[in-house]
Amino acid sequence: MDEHSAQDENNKMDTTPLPVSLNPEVIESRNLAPEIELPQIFQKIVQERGNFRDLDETELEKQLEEEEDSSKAFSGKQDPYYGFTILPSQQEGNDVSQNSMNIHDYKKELVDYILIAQNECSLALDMTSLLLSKYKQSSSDTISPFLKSTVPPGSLGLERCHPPEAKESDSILAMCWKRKSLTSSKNLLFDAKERLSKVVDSEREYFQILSNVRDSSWPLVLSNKGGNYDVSVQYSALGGISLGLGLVRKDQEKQSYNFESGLVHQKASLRVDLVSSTGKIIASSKWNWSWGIQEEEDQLLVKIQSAQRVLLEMDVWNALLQEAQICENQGVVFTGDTIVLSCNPEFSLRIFLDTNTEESRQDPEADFLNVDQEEEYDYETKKLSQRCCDAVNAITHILFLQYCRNPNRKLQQAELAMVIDASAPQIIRPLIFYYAIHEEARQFQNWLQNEGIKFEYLPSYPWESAQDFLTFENFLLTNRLSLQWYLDLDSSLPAHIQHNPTLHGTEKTVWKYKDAYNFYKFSSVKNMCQYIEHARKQRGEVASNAIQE
Amino acid sequence: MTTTPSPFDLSNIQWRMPEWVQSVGGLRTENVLDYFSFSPFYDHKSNNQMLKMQSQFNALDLGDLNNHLRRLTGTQFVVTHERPPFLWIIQKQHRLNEQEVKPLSTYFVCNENIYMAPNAYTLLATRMLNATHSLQTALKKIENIPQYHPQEGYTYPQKISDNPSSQGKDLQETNKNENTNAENNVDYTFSAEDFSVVRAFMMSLQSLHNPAQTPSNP
Repeated sequence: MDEHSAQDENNKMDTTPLPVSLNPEVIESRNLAPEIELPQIFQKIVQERGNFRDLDETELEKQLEEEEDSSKAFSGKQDPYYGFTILPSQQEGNDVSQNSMNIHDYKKELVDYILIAQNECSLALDMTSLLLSKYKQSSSDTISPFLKSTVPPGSLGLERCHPPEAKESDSILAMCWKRKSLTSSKNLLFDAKERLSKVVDSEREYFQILSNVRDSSWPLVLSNKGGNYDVSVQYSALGGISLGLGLVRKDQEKQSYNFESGLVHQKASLRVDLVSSTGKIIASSKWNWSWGIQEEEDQLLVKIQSAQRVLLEMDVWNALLQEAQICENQGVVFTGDTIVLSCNPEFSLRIFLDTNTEESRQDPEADFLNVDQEEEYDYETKKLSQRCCDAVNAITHILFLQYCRNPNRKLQQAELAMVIDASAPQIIRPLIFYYAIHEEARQFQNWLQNEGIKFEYLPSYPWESAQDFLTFENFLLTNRLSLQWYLDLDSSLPAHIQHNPTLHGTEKTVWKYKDAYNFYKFSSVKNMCQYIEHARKQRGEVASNAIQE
Repeated sequence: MTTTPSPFDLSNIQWRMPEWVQSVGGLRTENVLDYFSFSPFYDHKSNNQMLKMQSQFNALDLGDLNNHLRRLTGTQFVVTHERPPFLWIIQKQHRLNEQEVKPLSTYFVCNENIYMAPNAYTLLATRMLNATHSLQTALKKIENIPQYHPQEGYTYPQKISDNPSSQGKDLQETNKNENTNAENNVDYTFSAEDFSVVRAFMMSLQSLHNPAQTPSNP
């Protein structure tokens, strides 16, 4: 059935005078075999019009229109010279392709030339091998396989003959060739000298800059990267946790030297925000390094310094994140980019790494720009909260320095037993610790005031006795505090309370109550308050009894 | 040497005269020298020519010709090798006396074509020259591409091939195919790392397949 219909179609086709097939058999067979192989069709289409990959409908439509246009225009172009007009444009096209050659084209061409040379040599080898195979069996091994299969060995002969005439042009050619190649080698050497001396100049400049860098006491590190030696600057030289190496590279366009640090951020600084419960920023402090930058210095050194600062800030941030993971029981909530300390229901401290590239101004008022303008806080409160943020930020950095100072520090055995993760930095925990002590003390004070008890509060913080900065740092980490309270309970009975809060351990806070009769330990202020109330009541009863008697 | 100064190089031409061959009914050892005498390789001052003139009327057969040539001195053409009906080798020689002969050059008639046998030195030297030349050209092409820098070593700067959009419209049309090819080439240049994951995956697949196949094989 199919064949019949196909033949019918063929007959129909034949009735139309055009297009006349030059090879009717082929067309017939194609019609007779409609299930022509798909891979072949694909091959043909790809060959004709490229891949399907960047094919879309609009392009096809455009092409169709173009084809229609060209078929209309074709009648006009049907002159005998039509084919020749293509030739010059083709030549131009070749020129274009030569101009914009890329490496792969060069490689292809190189391979082509080498193939030509190889072909020539193997032809010569074929000939000589064939010639020699007449006299020596083994020489036929070097004949190419095709030649070996078609030509019997020993089929080439040789005979003595008169040497060919020496042509005059040969000697001229030889002389000119030699002269030309000598000249060209001279030019090549000169060019190479020019180029290399330029390279050496730029290298001298580079090493001059490197030695500048080294003179300003940045350590240089020689690193071997895939056989190439790179001199990199260790910009984390002054401290921090991670090692920062950066390369000094020449910027070809600007003709200046760049410092490639591999850091993600151009600028980074730790920012501490005091956020109210409604989510408004009351105060914020952005850590600002005020040391070491001298604008009149080398631009490159400034870049290295800023890279160092960024890396240090990132280290601080990472240390904070690391610590935040073990501080969840102390109300620390963290995501990847913020840490929220919410010790107080009213406020929370939000710490994050500010990578804003905008240059914040040096004056402290600039920080107020970040703060939401709120009417409910007066200037003094704002100033105070600002100072709080600044202090938190500063102490964070100080504690980080302390952490860096002995990265593999050995905790005391007793301390070690109480610490979950010994290697974690201690930055957030002391902060929370001191804040919690303060809160507790304030609570107690409030209670005492409400009860009308006279008291004397004698806190002795360890850093008060710090002689220098180093001891100050160490004292910030002191595990034990001793806070003294002197209470004047009724009728001149003094009570002495010793408050020994600790940073680690199950006994977070210990209140030791001591008066003339009793010595008790309480684990919380609440319990102690209850006891004091009880004691006062007892005392009152005793006193009233005494009066009755 | 009394050879005629050849107006052009005879070493690389092929000469044939099919109509003569047809008129005599094919080449044979007897008439191959006659055929040769029409070619530009033939020297009209040779002994052969002289003998031909002398024996214009009494036909001379080939054996007689060789005998006559032996008695003469000077340039002669003799058939040194024959393999009818396709191949004859003709030597041009300078006879000093009846015993001594000095070969000048060799020609061969192969399928009615006459060639001058190549000089081994010239042929090999030319081949070597060709090879050297193409190597030289290749080196000259690429010698300026790699750039040297003491820090980076040799690098091959990748030129960004500018689109020939500024070149004109009809040019673009004619270049369409070439351009698409070039673009495809650019697309296909993946670096080795692009496929590293895929390759690792294929390797793991292979290692999975192999133990499965080995038990079935024995």
